[in-house]
Amino acid sequence: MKEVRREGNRIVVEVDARIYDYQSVADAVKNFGCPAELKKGFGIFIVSLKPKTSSENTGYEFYNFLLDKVKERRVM
Amino acid sequence: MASENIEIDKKENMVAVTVDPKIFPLDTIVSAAYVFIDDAYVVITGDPNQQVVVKLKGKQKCDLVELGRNFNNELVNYEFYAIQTARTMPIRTAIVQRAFFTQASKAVDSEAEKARVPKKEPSYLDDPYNIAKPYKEKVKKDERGKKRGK
Repeated sequence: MKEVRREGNRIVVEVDARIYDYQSVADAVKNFGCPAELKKGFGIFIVSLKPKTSSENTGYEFYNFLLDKVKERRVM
Repeated sequence: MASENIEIDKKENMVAVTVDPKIFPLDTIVSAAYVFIDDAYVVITGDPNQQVVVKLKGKQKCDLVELGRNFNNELVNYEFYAIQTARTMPIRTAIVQRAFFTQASKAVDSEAEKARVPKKEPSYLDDPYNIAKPYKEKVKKDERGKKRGK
């Protein structure tokens, strides 16, 4: 599974729903700082980002941002 | 070259570390991964009951094997921390309870102390209505009255 891919001028990020909880993903989508769309797939969350400069790194940046949210929510 | 649980993708500048969640729980994995967010992009996938894969994609060119091994060390570090935390939990709870209890008992003691102090006996020197005057002032006024009367 490729977690980050480019679709035109959009970056699509697939997030594993077994690892990342919905609240954290929603929080990350809301606060990431670029237009984003969240959809639910089968065992995954699909986040479609529309950054100003389209780069796959934006998708990975989103993953790091999401990890920050997850850490805030669940870890000591 | 790679360790048992490390797979390297040089083209993507990415290392995938496989972790057994029975040894390292997901909380530990997330804590260890969080350490690397400055140096690498972190993606966590897999089944938290079977096998978790942590992918670290270097932000710059770096030694991927070292990155993976550092992640393994960080896992041990956080798991050790979690074990120690669990082990010392009763002691910490007892200390905090003792601190709260001490503060509470101090407050109770001060209240009791206030209640214990006996009320002061009324004295002839007390002047609750502020009507007493010094003797000299009183005498002077009396003398003036006499002089006027004469």
